[in-house]
Amino acid sequence: MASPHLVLDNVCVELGGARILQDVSLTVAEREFVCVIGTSGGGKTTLLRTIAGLLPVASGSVSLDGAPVDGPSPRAAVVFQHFGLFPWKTVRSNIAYGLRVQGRPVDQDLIRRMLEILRLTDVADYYPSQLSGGMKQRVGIARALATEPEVLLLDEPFSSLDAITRESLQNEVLRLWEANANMTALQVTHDIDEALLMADRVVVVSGPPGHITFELKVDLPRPRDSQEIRSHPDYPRMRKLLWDSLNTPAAGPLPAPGAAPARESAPARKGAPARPHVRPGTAPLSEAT
Amino acid sequence: MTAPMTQRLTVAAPGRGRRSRRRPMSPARRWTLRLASVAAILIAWQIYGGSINPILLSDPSAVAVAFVDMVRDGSLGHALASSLEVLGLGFLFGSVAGVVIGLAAGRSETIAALIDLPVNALYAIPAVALVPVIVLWFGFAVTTKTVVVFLFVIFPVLINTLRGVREVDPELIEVARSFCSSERRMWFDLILPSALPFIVTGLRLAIGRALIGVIVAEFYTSLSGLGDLITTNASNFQTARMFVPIVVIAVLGVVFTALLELAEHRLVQWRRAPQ
Repeated sequence: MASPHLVLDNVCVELGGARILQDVSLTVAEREFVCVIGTSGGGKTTLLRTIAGLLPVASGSVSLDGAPVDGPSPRAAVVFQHFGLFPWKTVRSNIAYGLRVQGRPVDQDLIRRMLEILRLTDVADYYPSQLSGGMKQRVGIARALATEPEVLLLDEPFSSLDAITRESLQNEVLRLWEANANMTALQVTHDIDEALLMADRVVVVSGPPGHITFELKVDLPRPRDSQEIRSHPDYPRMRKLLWDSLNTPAAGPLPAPGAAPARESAPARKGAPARPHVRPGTAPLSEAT
Repeated sequence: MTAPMTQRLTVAAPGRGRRSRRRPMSPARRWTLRLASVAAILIAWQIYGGSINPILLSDPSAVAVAFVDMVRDGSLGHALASSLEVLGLGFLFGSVAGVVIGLAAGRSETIAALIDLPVNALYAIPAVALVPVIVLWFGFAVTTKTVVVFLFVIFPVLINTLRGVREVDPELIEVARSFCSSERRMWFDLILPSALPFIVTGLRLAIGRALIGVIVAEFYTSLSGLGDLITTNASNFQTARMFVPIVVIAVLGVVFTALLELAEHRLVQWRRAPQ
């Protein structure tokens, strides 16, 4: 693994007096794609908003290359579940928003390239209300990418889209990330297949209060594609692992001595052993359901 | 790969929403109906008004004759200029003050708390009730009438502006924050554009109230303006001449509202973008 890039150290977050995140520690390497998965209300979106600098930590720390994250930074960009487009701005000026608001020069070539990459050229002068959900999220993605962030934070970016649009956008984002030389990505999702498709590593967050209960290294070969990946021999096993970890009661470790991590090893493609990293003290997987 | 095909499907999707809804009326039909209703009222007025004592009601043709007379002798033009001056000044000051205070209160809890009770109290008092006090303070000059119009105008503008700022989508505020927007930029990128439709609604309400304010102020204070024409002609039993300023006020209301609608149309174009 490359050097640590984004580091969360025992992060606790409180909202309105309630503890939402409890001792979350996570290290993301440069150019790693991490998916945070969990059931709703588990704190995964809070985790992303904390990393984006939108929420303060109650204790612990978030740092990027050793510099503490204590507010939104131009080094990171967020793609929102609700798209978050400005309804009175055209597609083109929505995409330019991030650059403009950060006082950076709006390079029209860059905007044109973003429109092209996300296939928005034909609707560049449309308003968001004239677009379908999938197109809106393309604008959201283009807006984030236009700022050329080091860390791309995706908050359930596809969950309000229909299944077909979702899958095609997943593939597109995957290709964009795979083609981008040094962008780290952290995506929140509640979709196991999406997590396995996108991520180098899947982190399961359960709560409340949210804490990391399971980690799985996804060593499936890249470039990936949503259709091909499902026929990979390791896929069903990894899927089951995540499914079981999501369906294990989050409150407190369960006594399940038989379930050793070694059982869940998924054979790797490229030499390195792809073993799920089960954290000590977290709920192991139980055979008996 | 499925992506290109999905793309084409999603491009095709916009446009379905509107067509399934009720078809909008054609402009020609709408104007026919609008003018027909006015014509019906005028005809009914002509028939009934012509059949009774002209001092009680008069009729449209007599009002038209009186209109020409009053334009010729300059009394209408003079009164109109006087009323428009008061209307313009009061509306300008009232709406500027309403927008500024509304924006400030929408963004600052402190200011909102400070103005909350006074504004609600003043809004509840019929502005007419304050006219005698205003006369005591400002005399009978233009100032007094302007202050009355100001009081009629400021509250609908202020309250709507405040609501507009409060209704700014918190999700968009978070978007702006995530892209490191400064507070000042947030005003121009987010708060003003989202409050704008509310502000325009406030101004439209205020126009009607401003006209009321002008006439009330003139009834109470002045020897000029459209309001004075109404009282003077009414006390002289010149009923047809009395109706002329009333009709002029009605026309002013329609024209000003239309102008504001036009401005709104221009300013919030994105809302009406073809679906």
